[in-house]
Amino acid sequence: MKYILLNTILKEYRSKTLILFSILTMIILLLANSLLGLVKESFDGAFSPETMGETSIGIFLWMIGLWGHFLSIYIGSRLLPTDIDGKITHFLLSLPLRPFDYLVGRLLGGVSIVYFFYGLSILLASLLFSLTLKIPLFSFAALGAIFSMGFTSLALISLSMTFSLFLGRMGSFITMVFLLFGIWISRFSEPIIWENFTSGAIFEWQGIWNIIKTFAFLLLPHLDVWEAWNRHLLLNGEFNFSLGLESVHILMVLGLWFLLLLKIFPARVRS
Amino acid sequence: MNGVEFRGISHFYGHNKAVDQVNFSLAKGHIFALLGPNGAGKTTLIKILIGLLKPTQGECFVWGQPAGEFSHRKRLAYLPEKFNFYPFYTIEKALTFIGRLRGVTTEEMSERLDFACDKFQVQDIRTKKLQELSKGQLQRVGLASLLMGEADLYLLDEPFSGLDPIAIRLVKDALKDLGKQGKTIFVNTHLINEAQTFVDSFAVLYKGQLMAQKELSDLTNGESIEDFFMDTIKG
Repeated sequence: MKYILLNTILKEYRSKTLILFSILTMIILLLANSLLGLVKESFDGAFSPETMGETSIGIFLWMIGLWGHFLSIYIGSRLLPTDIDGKITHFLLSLPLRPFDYLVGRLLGGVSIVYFFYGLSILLASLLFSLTLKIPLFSFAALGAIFSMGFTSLALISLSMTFSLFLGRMGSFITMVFLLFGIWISRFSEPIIWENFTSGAIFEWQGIWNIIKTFAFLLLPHLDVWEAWNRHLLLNGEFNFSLGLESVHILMVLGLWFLLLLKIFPARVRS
Repeated sequence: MNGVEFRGISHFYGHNKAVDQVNFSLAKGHIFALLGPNGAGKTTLIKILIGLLKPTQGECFVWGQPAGEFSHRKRLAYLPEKFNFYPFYTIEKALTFIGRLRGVTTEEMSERLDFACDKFQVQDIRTKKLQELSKGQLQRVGLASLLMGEADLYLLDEPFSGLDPIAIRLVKDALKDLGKQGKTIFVNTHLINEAQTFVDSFAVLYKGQLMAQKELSDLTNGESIEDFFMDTIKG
């Protein structure tokens, strides 16, 4: 598993598209820094440099978090098809390597890249904003947010990997982008569904749209909930995560999609 | 105990029958060639042996146990028809990666790597990336990967494809060496003349059906494998 994880990092590091992701991130960072410079000049004295710095890092990291979702589905969509199409999977699975180890190695390798991306972004942002504001900036809230963003990335990568077995690289990426927008737009993870679920009302007939929403609610990660928590943590420095049901849910989603992946993967390799 | 045994194996790809009721076995420590033209079903049988394909009908055994068991893979080395690996790896990185997955320890790695690179004459180019290699050089890296670990059964699918005469000779010598060490070797090839010089036994597969299985020593009156093969598929 360790060797597959390292191989995943190396494989994705070689991908030219990651360079594009990095360039776009740098552009966001430079734009954010210019904006910070402007704010500093306009509101000089109204806010302390510490407050301005931490708020800037919070806003920047929130934007990067959204960007990280795209990176997760991009990586997740290409991890398996590149090996399967090149017949490398056939060869790898003839070696003493279990499909489980291969898939976990790929998944963890993928999430390591996303973590690295978050980590590097926040480091660069802290350095740049520190230089602009002329004070040293370091945010524990940002570290906490990065950690929690990794959970949603794991679920997104796992989901994209599963879709990629049916739809290929491009098909999976496009489907996941639509799904991502669908999650944001429909806000299906509104608390009312949890209430319906716990009260048993969910089992009553509520029309086809509600059934679809309920399935989506149960089977997809609640990105908007996690994002709202992260936003609050980054902007207010307060940890208000209600981790009970949601952490069980994210683990359940991750486990469910990974089990499906594990089931389908050998058949897809054989075909 | 047989090294490999096929019992009534049939396999379909959709409605197309790739192999039909194939029965044969191969003793441990034999060098065996499965001969047949392109599309005869040879690769299908090798994939069934590894466990990459489940046969539609029949059973396949390796060392008396159902083929495809995970425990077999530690004792098995496979070379696909076209060796394809991560193009950004250098030869030594690729072989080290394969060696690690096959359980070669860090202490043994350097020695193994030297041995494999020497055997298939890729020592001078071992720092080259796979994407910079010719088809023949890449195939030799694939052959070297067979030596990155201990195995008892070697499965080679068209190992001579894309190789020049010198490299073909290297492969045959390496297979003979492995044979002398008591390893079981199963080679798929459509280059029938090449098989003559290194196999103990062979079988002819034609249009998915096993036409004959023979020991090389059973050929009489100076008959070549090629003569036997042509007579078998005609008749």
